[in-house]
Amino acid sequence: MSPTRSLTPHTWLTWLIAAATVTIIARNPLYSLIMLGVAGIMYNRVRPRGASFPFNWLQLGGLMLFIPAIFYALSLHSGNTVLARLPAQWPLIGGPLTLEAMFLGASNGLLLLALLVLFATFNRAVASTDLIRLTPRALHHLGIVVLIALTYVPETTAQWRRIREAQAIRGYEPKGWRGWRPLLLPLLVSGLERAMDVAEAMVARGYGATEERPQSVRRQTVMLVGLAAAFLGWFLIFARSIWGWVLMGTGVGLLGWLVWRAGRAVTFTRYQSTTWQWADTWVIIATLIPLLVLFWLTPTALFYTPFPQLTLPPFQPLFGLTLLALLMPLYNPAFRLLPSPNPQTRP
Amino acid sequence: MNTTLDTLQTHLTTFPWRFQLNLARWLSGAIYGLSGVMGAAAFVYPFILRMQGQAFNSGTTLVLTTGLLMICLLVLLLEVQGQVISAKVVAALGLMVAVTAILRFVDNAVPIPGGFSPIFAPIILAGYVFGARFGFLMGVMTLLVSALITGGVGPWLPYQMFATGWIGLTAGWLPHPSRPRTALILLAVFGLVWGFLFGTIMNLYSWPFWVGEATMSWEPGSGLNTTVRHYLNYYVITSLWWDVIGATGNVILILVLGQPVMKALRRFRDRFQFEWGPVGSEQ
Repeated sequence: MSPTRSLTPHTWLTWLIAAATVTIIARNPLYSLIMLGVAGIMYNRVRPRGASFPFNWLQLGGLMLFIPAIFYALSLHSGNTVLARLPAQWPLIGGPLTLEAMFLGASNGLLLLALLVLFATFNRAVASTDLIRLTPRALHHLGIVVLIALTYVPETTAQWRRIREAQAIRGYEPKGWRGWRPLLLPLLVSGLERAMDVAEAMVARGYGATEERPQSVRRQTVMLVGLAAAFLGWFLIFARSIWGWVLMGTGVGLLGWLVWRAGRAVTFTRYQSTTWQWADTWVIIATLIPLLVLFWLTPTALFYTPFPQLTLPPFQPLFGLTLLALLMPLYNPAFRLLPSPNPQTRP
Repeated sequence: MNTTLDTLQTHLTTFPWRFQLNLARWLSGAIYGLSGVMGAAAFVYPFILRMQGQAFNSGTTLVLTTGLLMICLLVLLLEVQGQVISAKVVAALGLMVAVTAILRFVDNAVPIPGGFSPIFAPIILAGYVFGARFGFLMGVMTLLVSALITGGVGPWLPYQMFATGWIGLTAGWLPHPSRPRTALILLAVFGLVWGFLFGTIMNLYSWPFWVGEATMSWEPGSGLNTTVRHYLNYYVITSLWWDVIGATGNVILILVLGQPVMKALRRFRDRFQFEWGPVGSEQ
């Protein structure tokens, strides 16, 4: 039995958002290291259903730690531990090169690397066709567009290969920029021809048979008001006003309600519905724990700066431990103890 | 049922003036405008924060700004979708997105270093021929689909989707001169401008991550001018040449492929013009 057995895409999305939020808000290099470890374990143990990351992790990790360190050392010239000195007359990079600056650069790179691995885990765990289930109901048609595109990518790649072979048989070799015309234009035209066939097939199956009501002025006004409120709220949050949060919350709530209402007007049925299991509930609860602890921690506990003197970052063991809760999709007791309620969902 | 807004719309559209005010179109334009401003603000938030005298590399501000941008994108998608959807448009969008998404990786045959990406030319041309809304959807969906098929979903994706969507949207707003050569040159210049603009704003997104704090937080008394100057330094060092290659690549692609591609797209647009409908709905 595989470690992660068919968690729903919604669960994975919640996991991703919680993990990414925790990583970004707790900008401590030690926590970033823990998150990197958690994400690395998840990436290795998760059952690959989607695309895997195309690059070499070790090389990428080294680059992401090394380059910002150098960049920061060359642009930021404060800190007590001086490693080398460039002549101060040099325009941007002149001055002392300090260990603190390098450390800040490396910790920023570490944060980015942890985020990358988190997103790569999500990509790997959820098949791209399952991601369509995450589209909001109101954007159902755009979800169909993405589905059509994903379905026809392999076919289009094969078509590209066929066109190249056909032209090569005729002794044609692309020379210069104009040489690509006889290759790219047939690809485009064949794609559009196929679009006509797909459209006919969709209409024959009843797509768009019910008339959609046009945009109502009421809906557009609510949209405008919601957007304006969210924008103003965001701006006020930067001005450190409590009204910022209130306003942004109102705007977001209004827009969320609008999207929900628009979704209710869309009717469709699913051939295969997503089954919600106990494992999903456990994972959701587990991923909320670090978020709660994070909001309970005071901001000063999270703030860390290596300047002026490099010191060990503050570390809250309790919080570090709760980060391990993000490994829940792997070691979920519900997978072992409780049987799946629907035997058809077993892989 | 007559609500206040419907009554207002009726009054405005029957006002005895030469031109007719269309409230729905005005609201539509206002939504596009506001979301464009919000998107721009989300990209330049380091400067905004600096104007208020704060260090901008805090995690909460980044999470909030990404959230704001995603809301903006969601609302724009809802607004654009509401007007253009029929089976033909869905199918045409899907297939064109598929073709453009694989173009992103087809250029392995032509090794060009630098920031050249062949996806912008098709998006610009499609937006020009099919209209602003089609162009917007094509831009957003191409980025999404190519991210899905390569496993490249990341926190930069909403920003890329938003920026590319606006490339397609603004391409649809270009004027249509009568002479084809003028149109081609117009599109080429458009591709050049957006090549640089896209690089600049995507760089803006990555700036706080890589360098921003280094040049900003520890210099007391620096204001907006210094911030801008530091950002320009960062831009020149890191990505100016990248964007030059990207922008000129756009120009070359449009000049070389523009005419035949537009001819093919126009032919299909005219074929797409007919409508299926229930009996008795003809006007």
